[in-house]
Amino acid sequence: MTFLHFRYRQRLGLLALSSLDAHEADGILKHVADCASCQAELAELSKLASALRADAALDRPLPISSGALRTRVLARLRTSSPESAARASRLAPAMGALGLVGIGLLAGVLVTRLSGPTSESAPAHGPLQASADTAVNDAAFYERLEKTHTRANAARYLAEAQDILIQVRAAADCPDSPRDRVDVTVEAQTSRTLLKRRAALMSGSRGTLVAAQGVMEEVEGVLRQVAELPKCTRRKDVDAIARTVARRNLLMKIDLVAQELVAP
Amino acid sequence: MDRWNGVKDTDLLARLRGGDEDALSPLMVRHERRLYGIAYGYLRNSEDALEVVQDAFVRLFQQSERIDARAEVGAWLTRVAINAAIDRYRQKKRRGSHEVGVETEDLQHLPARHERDALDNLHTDDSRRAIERGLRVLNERQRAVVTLRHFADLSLDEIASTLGVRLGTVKSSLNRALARMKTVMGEVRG
Repeated sequence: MTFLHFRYRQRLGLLALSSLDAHEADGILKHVADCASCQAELAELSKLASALRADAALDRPLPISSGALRTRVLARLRTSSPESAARASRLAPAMGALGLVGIGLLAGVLVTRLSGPTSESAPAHGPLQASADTAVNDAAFYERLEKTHTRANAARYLAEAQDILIQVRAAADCPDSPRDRVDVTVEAQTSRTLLKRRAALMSGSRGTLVAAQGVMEEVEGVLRQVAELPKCTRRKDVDAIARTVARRNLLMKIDLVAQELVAP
Repeated sequence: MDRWNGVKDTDLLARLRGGDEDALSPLMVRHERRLYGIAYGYLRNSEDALEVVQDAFVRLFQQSERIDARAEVGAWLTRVAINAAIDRYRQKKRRGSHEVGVETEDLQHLPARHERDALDNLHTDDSRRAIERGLRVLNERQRAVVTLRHFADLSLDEIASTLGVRLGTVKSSLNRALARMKTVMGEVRG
């Protein structure tokens, strides 16, 4: 009797919520008929269940219209999934312009070298001095060109890293796995590749990327977390990374730094 | 919108897969209110609930290619919404928002004489506050189970499937949730 009493009592909540099958409910109700404490408990729980039902039944319309909600969702879609495209379109003109400037400068140097000093450009002093000046100018030019190239590469790296940080958040469920697992194979692999590129980029940057270093380090930290995720990882681990990205405003920082890097 | 009458969710999903943004509208109209109810039931905050609904539809579009073609869109959205609500709740709790994360002990010491008999007057602000107090002492899973049972009107089997847990877990979570709520709200009622 005592054992059954506790067993039934533990199910009174489900009984109050009408969540038991008829057979089980009958058994418990028979016990309750002879158990004063169970009757009191069931009365309390039933009152609570009614309160919950009444609360759930309250009319709670959306605080905005369906049209406004649709507009918000579409706006979010345009700034998230096609984000790469949008970002690319923002960065492309600047990168294109930089490319043209680089090609123009390079062509200028080659023309100067092939044609030799012209009468207009011939220095007033001797040929030895002219040769030394040209060498200095060439070195400065190549240094500028290299810096430009490094900055463009860093901007491209950051844009690709940003893609990963967005994509990992939307990873799909892992097939044939528990529901809380998501497949991050591609994101983890791409992160590893990006980290290698970052290492090469930094080793050859010779101080060019000092201004971007802080954000690049933050990005590196998050990419390392993504790179270490197992193929089928727990959703909550991915969500934790997404929260870190959001808390640090990393996507926005990447945008700003990338634009600064390719600014003429 | 009339042109979508009679078009099944699964057909709309197929259109979404093809990148047809127009197919999103009828799906939103069909499910937005229910999802909002679930999110509100869990979070008890309209702005947060609205964010969750938006998240769910954004994910529906973004992940439409990966969703099983035979999947029930409503069930998929419910799962996404409840998980998004849990995430948001957890975030706010971690940030120490005053709206969440109040421990049982704190609640028991809160003076709430005006909420006496709140459960007997279900349509007052006091009764709603009493329920919110009750919900605050639940852990994430208990809160999700209560929400899905009452705000989504799901069966226990459906709740188990939505949360990816066993039926027994749902039953015990629901029982414990009610017991905890009753304890706190019982004190409120004096």
